[in-house]
Amino acid sequence: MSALAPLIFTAQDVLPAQRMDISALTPQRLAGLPLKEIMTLSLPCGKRRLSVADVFTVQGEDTANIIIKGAVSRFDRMGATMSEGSLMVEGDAGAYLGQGMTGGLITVKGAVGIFAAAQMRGGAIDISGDAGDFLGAAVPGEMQGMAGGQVRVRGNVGHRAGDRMRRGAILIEGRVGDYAGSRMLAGTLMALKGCGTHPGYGMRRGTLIFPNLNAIPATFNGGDRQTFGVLTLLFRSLQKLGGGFAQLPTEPIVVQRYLGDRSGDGRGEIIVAPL
Amino acid sequence: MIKNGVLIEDTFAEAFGMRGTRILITAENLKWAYHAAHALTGFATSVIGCGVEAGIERRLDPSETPDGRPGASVLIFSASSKELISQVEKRVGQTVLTCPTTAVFAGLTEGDAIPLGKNLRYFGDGWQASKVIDGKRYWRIPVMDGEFLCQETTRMVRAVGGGNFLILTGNTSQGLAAAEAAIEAMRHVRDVIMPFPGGVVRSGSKVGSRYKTLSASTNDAYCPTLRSVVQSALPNEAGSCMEIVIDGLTEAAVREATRVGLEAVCARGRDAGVMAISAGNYGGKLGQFHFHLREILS
Repeated sequence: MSALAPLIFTAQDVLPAQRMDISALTPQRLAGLPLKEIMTLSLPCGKRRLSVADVFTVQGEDTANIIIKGAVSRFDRMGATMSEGSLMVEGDAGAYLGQGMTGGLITVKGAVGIFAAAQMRGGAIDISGDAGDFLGAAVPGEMQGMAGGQVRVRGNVGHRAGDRMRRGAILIEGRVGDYAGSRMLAGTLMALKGCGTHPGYGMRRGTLIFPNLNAIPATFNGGDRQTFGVLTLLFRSLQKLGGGFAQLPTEPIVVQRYLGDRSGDGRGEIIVAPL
Repeated sequence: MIKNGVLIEDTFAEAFGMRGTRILITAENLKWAYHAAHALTGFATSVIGCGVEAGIERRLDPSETPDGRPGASVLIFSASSKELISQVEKRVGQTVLTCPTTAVFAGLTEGDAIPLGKNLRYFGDGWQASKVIDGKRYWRIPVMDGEFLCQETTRMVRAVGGGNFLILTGNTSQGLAAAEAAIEAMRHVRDVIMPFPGGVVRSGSKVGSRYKTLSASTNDAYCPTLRSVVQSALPNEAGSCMEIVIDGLTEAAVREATRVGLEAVCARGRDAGVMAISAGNYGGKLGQFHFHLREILS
């Protein structure tokens, strides 16, 4: 543990009505900067640029351990491209939380907007509330979504989670919306309370894990009851996360597995397991 | 030094640096885990002819294995890293991949990574899939009973091979009984294997031969049938000699196994026909590890 006090950014009571880009406030971008310089950093806000001092009061010194208090859903790109250290968001987060992140830990005490963990490459994100659409997805124009690291959402998640996902794990304690794992290339997406319609739409490889399916997608085959050693390993690992994951079975279990999307490459899998 | 009537000769075992690895084999039940482990460690008594020396280290309870199934822990040693890498892949591919219900995992977390399932995955013909769990990559290969799960790599460490001692007894039955008692006790020591059949070898060798093509030949000094015609190392009443060879992941483990084995043999005592305990060495010039019997027992 660092002996230094965490660097705390507390949002002013009155905030601009426009959306703001907060991506400047990450451990690696603030490392080595004196407080005076941090206060003058510019934060894009609508068509203007504000300084950190216009938006936050700042205290503390440890740039490796940042806390943003009073965050609102207009704060976009928090922790984007973060590579090290810890970022704690007390409040809600806007769009693109942790976009392109490569390392470190982002903890959000509230809900997050769209495209959280988009193109994430490493590190971990822990979201206490809900997450919007396109969690861990590829932003428009990109060929690959999340390609490493781990995202945990304790609430529910919107549609298109894991779109074009390439690697890593999205772990959801609640429900995930429609088209979960669409166009997925690889990786793992798991939702303990199930999914909406069309899971795995266009997926090539990768693993989706749910407790049930409302309807088996027409382009998925299989459904035989089988046992997979890899699930035991996975569940044992996830059990350490606690919360809803603490209940995961850690002995070999029988599951149903569907292979698809057979309209494409079709080597992905949807596993229906007694979670 | 005499212990329970058994003469402990003032000599030492000379052991060599080797490369070693541990792998864990699990299966639906212990029977099938052992089928695979026995096959994997078969024909692996001596690096001279087998490429590797391998053996089952111990049984694994379900609580000790990565996938919660019963299994066996196997140690494999070789004189060179290249040979070890080659043999691990060949043996796992032919004996574990083929054996129903098995899975295979690395049994070491330190050392250099060497392929375990890394190349075996191509058996999946494109249907293989990988998962990274806790930073370790596993391969899932579709096979006719479901899926063969194997970790991508295991670890190779510097190890010790060729620790040994010789049990000199009145006759062969007494020799076998003493050797079996030693092996029974030594099997409880971690990080070691005794690679010969039943842990015991009766064809101890000396360096060199009268035939140019052979680098080693029978250890005539300990052959009871040659006592009258060679410079014998056997006491007059000794009619049999058994050797126990020990390979271990660490020098300390080989030392401990030697101690446990020596104690077990001594416990049988002179009354059970055990006359002396000796050890094999090459004058101390070839091997980097020396295990002095009297020092170990003191």
